[in-house]
Amino acid sequence: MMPGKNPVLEITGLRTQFFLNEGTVTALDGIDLTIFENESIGIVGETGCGKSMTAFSVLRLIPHPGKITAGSIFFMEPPEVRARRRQLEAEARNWYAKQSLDQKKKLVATHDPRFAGTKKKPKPMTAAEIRKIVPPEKAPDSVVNDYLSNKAKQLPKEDKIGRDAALRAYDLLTKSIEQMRGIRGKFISMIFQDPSTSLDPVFTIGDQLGEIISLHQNVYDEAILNKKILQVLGLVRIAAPESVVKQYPHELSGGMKQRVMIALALSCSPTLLIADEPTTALDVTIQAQVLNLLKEVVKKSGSSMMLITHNLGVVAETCNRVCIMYAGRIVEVAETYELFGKPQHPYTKGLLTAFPKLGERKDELTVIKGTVPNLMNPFPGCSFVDRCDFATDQCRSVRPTMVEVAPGHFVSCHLYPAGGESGNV
Amino acid sequence: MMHPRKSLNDKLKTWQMAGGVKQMIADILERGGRNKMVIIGFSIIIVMVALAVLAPVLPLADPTPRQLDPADQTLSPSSHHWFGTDELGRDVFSRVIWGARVSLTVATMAILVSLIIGVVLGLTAGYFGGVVDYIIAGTIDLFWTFPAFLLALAFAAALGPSLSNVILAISISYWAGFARLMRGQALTVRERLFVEASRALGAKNGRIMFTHILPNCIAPLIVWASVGVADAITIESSLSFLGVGTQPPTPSWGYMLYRGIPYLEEAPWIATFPGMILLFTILGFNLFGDGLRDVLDPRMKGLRR
Amino acid sequence: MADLVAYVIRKILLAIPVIILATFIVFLMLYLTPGDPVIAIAPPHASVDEIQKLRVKYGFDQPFIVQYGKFLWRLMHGDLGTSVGRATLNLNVGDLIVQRLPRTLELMAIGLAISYSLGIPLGIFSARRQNSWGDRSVMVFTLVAYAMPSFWLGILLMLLFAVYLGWLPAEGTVGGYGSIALPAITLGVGNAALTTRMMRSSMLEVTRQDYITQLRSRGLPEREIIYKHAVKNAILPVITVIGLDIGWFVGGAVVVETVFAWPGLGMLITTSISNHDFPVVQGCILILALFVVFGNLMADILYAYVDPRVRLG
Repeated sequence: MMPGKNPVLEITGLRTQFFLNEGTVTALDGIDLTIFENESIGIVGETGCGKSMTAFSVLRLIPHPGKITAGSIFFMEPPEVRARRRQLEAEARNWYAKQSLDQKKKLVATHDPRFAGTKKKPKPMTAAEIRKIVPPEKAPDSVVNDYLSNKAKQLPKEDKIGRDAALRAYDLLTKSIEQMRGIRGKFISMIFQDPSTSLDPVFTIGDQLGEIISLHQNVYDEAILNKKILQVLGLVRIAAPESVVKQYPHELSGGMKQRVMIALALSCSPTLLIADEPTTALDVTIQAQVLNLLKEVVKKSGSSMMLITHNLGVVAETCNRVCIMYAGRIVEVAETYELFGKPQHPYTKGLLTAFPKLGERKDELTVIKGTVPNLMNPFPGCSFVDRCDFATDQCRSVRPTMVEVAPGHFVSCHLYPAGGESGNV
Repeated sequence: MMHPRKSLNDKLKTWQMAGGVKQMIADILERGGRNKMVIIGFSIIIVMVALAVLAPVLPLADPTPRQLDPADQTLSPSSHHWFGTDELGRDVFSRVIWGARVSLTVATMAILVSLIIGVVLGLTAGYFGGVVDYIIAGTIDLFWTFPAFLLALAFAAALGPSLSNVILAISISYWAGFARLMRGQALTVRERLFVEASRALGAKNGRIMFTHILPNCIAPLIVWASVGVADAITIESSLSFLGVGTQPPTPSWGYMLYRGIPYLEEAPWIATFPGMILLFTILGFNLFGDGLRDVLDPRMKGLRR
Repeated sequence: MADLVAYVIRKILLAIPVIILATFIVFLMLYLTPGDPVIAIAPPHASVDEIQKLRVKYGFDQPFIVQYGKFLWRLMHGDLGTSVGRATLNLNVGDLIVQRLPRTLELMAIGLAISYSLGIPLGIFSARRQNSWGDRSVMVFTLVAYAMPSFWLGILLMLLFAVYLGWLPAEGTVGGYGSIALPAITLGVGNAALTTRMMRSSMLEVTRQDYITQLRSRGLPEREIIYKHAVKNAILPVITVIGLDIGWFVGGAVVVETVFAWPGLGMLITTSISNHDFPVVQGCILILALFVVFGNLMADILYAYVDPRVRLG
């Protein structure tokens, strides 16, 4: 199915941090990602690179002591609102660029990053501290957001599109917990990695499915509910659904549990389905079955899918776009064939060569040298620098920006310097 | 070159680098030092143990005087008698301190015996497996479900009231907990490679059991022992309260409480002071054990705000 | 359901060796007494003839196994011996016990009710507000309540409510609802502390589980997640401990009855001990032990009913 033009999910500048006794871990360091209608995008990376964190951030299920400290996640934003919002944002950036140095410093000072994520009220900065600030060239997101909120107050009430745009009404991060609950499970749904631990062990399958269906579809009549439960079980190709309904999770095999999980996730036909390593905990023989099932039901329901995995083979099978993550940052995004055929980022190249291919003879498995960096110390440069064969001094001190090297193909690496504008992927 | 004496902190740091058992102990000491429960509990334990040990040399009134002056009976607390006097005219403060000696002796001896029996049986069961394990584990389960107090009561009642009988009774009731712990540890460690390696190098079974398995279990053993002493003090005082424990005139907190009941209205100090000190002591051992258990639980590390 | 029945049968079969061990220990008690075992079971001022008759009846000159066999035989016929205490001389021990048993049972029942109705909600409350002042005060309360031996707590409560406030009677023999209050509260509060801590740590652990996150990801309201899903899972370890709790209660009842002069089995044991009435002591211990076994069995069955995974075990 061809992906649509309109974005279903638009993540910009997402930063998620964990505030521990030992220090602050930056799990996601400024993620930009867009998912379009009817598309399946794979998020690939090593353990700890932040792929699951992205999923949890979208659903705002980050556990304490974690917090989303920056960015926005626009979900199902109507195209008109989006257009208007981007217009306003451009306006804000222009306005910032025209400010004097001193004025810029003051603007940046109102959002002290040192107090991000704490409950403490930020102490206002002294004049001396303000003078020391080096304001960035591009308008920081906090300044842009402030500009937009101010603009919202000026807009007339009837201008609904304008107000929605300025107030960032479709940004999940502005929503209350109550509103998020209305979205979770109904519009955005998640499939968890280990079905053995992700299902409540003391309730039957029927109970758990019924609970979700009646919650989101307001079905209370038992007969109708049972019918729907059996229907959705049929959708995931579970044999003998009438007996499965009465069983407990521990009585089912891994594959069947994962199907139940898929049923739970799809029971309300969500717009976005997030699958967090859906096949990692399963037998190899079952993996293919479950993946095929996933592809099929996603296509049928017209949902978009964010498939998180460390397995490139899975991605090749199921996704039409791929996103490679490393140490909390996105390093490359492209359509599947394009990425596999012409990988640009050194990490991607390393991954592809390390992945053993059928029919290929190797005496030694290729390995990317080094280990994943510690996410506790924010790194000014490119996070891949210690393991990269092409690293330069610039890589150590300057963070690369995302550049479009071919239509729809984005890379974040100094090998591909920012020529024109940095793309919003 | 002069080597200045290393401070305690430095020694701790060196041990931490050393790896192995030393590192484990150093880690625990450091984390324990930061845990409030451990510190409070430990302080209480030190105080009570010190009082118990030093009782004979402290300037206390005679806790079991032969001659009693009726005029001394049930005097309120004063500078002369800090905790007042009991119904027979004896100084309550002195009896409380001497009672500490009795209770702590009984409790520690009982737990020590329990520990030895339990550790040996548990290790044997877990390490050897098979029939040996089946029999021992079965016995452990049987004794485990029996309420320790009831068992101790049965034995104390049968054997007749005396200090050593109480120790024996408590030991018989309490060993199962230690055995269970050690058996579990032995079972998990048995799987580990270094035991295999050690055996391959020809170490005898006994040596393996003690040098490899036991050191890893020191920490949970201390936790159990501490909580065990608290339990043992409770059992001993309950038994004394019922009349099957330490017999008069030996001062025992439980018995003092029993004698204090009829005087609750007119002379509440007879029962109250022993009771408070009893509670205080048990609390100390519980705090220490619980605090240590928290320290050992790795999941709680690192959270803030 | 069928697996539940199979599980129950298995558990009953497993309880049998425990019962046998209990009878053996009680049997053994006689031989632990200092001196000639006959003295323990002979009435005071018994004549030489009577003592000889007892020797034959109990078979003291015969091998151990035979004596144990005779003991079991007598048990199965409901003969627990005859009292040798002053006040109850020659009364059937079984009768004495049956007279007192209901009083102990009702004390324990109310104590259990107090314990769980206090402990479980407190544990949930504490877990939901982890590290808040509410949580900390609950933890302090549980620490103190747990460290307090039952008899001391009983004395304190007696001091407070009966002596100073005069609200509740101190003696259990008065009768009516008032007199059971203090002993039952004493029993209940002590165990409530344990229950609270178990429930709290269980809740904390359950809410960290993957399936709770999964339920949140489906948009279920938090109330439902906590009270329907989390509590049902968290209560399982607490139920497993009910068996141990019952054991604790039995021991505690003995002590509490003595403090408040409550006319149950516990009081009977204590007075019998001071009267050197060995047969009664023996009989009581046996009945109490059986009660513990039975209680454990009920607890196991309850647990299997609630948690279907256990039925395979």
